[in-house]
Amino acid sequence: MNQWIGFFKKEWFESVKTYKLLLVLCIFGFLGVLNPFTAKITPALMENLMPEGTILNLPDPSALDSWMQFYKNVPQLGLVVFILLFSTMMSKELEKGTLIILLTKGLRRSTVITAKFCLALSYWTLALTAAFLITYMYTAFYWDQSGLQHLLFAASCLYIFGILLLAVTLWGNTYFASSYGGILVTFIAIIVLFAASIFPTDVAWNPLELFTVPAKLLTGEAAPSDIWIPYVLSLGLAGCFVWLTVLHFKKKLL
Amino acid sequence: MVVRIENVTKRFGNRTVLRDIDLHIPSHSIYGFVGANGAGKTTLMKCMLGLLPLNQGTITVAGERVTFGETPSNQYIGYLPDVPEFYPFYTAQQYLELCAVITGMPRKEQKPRIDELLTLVGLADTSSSISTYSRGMKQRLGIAQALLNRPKLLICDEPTSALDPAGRAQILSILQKAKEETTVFFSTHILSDAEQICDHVAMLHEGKIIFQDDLRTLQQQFQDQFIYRFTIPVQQAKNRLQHTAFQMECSDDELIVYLPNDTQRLAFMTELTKNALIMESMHPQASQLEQLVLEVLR
Repeated sequence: MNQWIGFFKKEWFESVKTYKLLLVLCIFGFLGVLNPFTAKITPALMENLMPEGTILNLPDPSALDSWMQFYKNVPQLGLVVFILLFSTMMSKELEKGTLIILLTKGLRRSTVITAKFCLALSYWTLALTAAFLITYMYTAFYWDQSGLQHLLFAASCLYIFGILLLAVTLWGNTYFASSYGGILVTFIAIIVLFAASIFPTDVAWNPLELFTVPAKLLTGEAAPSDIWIPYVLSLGLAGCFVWLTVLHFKKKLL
Repeated sequence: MVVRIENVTKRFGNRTVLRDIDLHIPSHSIYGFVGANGAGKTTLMKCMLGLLPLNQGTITVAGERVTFGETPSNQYIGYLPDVPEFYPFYTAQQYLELCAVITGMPRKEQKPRIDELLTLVGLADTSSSISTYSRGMKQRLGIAQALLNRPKLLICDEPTSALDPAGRAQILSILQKAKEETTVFFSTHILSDAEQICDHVAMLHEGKIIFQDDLRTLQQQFQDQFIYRFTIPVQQAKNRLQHTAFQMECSDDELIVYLPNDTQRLAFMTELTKNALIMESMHPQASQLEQLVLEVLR
C-alpha cells in the first residue's frame, strides 16, 4: 500500500509541476462561468445580430438554458480537452524509459496502471465538480432551479461516461505506447458507439446514451430507471478496460 | 556465485541476439562485460532483470530464479540503465525518497541511507532539480538509486560511455568503492575501463561469450610481450630471426615478441644487432585486454 501511495504522490506532484492542475481548474472553471453567462446573453446577442426591424419572440432565459449549455460545453469541449491532457499518461513514461528504474526496484506493474487511472479519475472528479458547482451557483444567482429534475444524477451520467473514455484512453495509450494511440482508440470507440446507436432498440443500452440523456433528465422526459443499463454497462466496461490495461502491461516488453 | 546464467538464448523474431550464454559471476567482484555496440550486452542485462523473456535457459540471482515481469530476484539487484531517465521535476533527494518507498525501506532508515549515498556520489550539496543535471550527474544519481537497497548485485549498463575523462574516472572510482558492499556487473565497450577496475572479464561477440576469465589470468597471456617496429618490413625482419628460439608473431607492421625475463630481453637485443635489424620503435604491450579482444576477433 505504501508503494501505491508513494507512486500516486509522484503522479500528483508531477501533474502539479507540469501545470496540469492549474490548466484543468482554469478550463473547467471557465466552462462553469460560461454556461449561465451564455444562457443569459444569448437573447440579447441574437437581437443585436438580427437585421434591424426583425422581430424576435425569444422566451426569457431560464435555469434550464444554463444547464443545457453545461451539457453542451462540458462534454463537447471540456471532456475532449481533458482526454487530450491525459492521453499520454503511459506513453510518455514508456517512451522516455522513466519507469524502468522503478520497475526493477520492485514497483508492481498493476500499481503503475491503477495509480495513473486513479489520478486521472481524481482530476475528472475535480474538474466536473468545479464546473458543476460554478454553474450551479452562478445559475442560482440569476434563476430559480427548483423546477429542474435529477440535477445530480444527470451530472453523474456525464461523470460515468468520462470514466469510460478515460479507461479506453489509458488502454490505447498503454497498448500502442504512443501519444496518438490513446486518442485514436478513444476516437474509434466513440465512432463505434455512434454507429451502434443508428440501429433502434427497445431498451437503451448504448453508453452514448449517458452523453445525450442529461438534458432529458432535467426536463423529466427521462427517468434514471430508463438508463440503468448504459450506466452499469459503462462502469463495467471501464473496469474491464483498466483490467485489460493491467494484463497487457504485465506482459509488455520494456 | 551471485549470478548463474545457464544456456541462455534470446531471439527477437528470427534474429538470435544471445546464443547459449553461460556466465557465472562471483560475489564481491567487479565483473566487466565487454563487447561492441549491438553485441547483445543490454539484452542480457534486461533478461537478468526480467524485463525480457528468455527463449531458452535459466538465470538465477542470489539463488532466486529470474522470471519475466515482476521477478522476486530484483530485490537483490540495483540497476543503472545506459541512459538513466529520471523525473526532471524532482531533486536527487526527492527521487531517492521515492525509490526508498518503492523498495519498501523502513522510514527511519531512509534519510541516513540517502544522505550516505548522496555523499558517496558527490550530490549531497546539490539542491536543484534533476532537469538541470549534466549527464555525469545523472549517472552518479543513477548509481545512488541502484545502491539504495544495498543490493547483492549492481548492474550498470555502459555507465561511462558518454562521459568525459573526469566523469569516467569519477564513476569508476564509485564502482570500485561499491565493490565493498556488493558485486558489480558492468558492461562497456571501453576496454581500458574494464581493465582498470575489473577482477573478471567476459566478452560478448555476435551473441556469444567468446571468453570469460579472471582478468589477471587473461593479462598473464599478454604480459611480457613487446612490440617492435623495424626500418624494414616486419615479415622480412621475422625471417631474419627465424633461427632463434623466441616466440614471435607479426601483427600488421609490428613484431610481437614474448620476452618473460631480462636475460631473454638482452639476448633478443643481441640477436637484433647480429642480424642488423634497426628498430624504429619498441614498447611493451600496453592494453592487454584490447590485444586479447583483437586476438579473439581475429
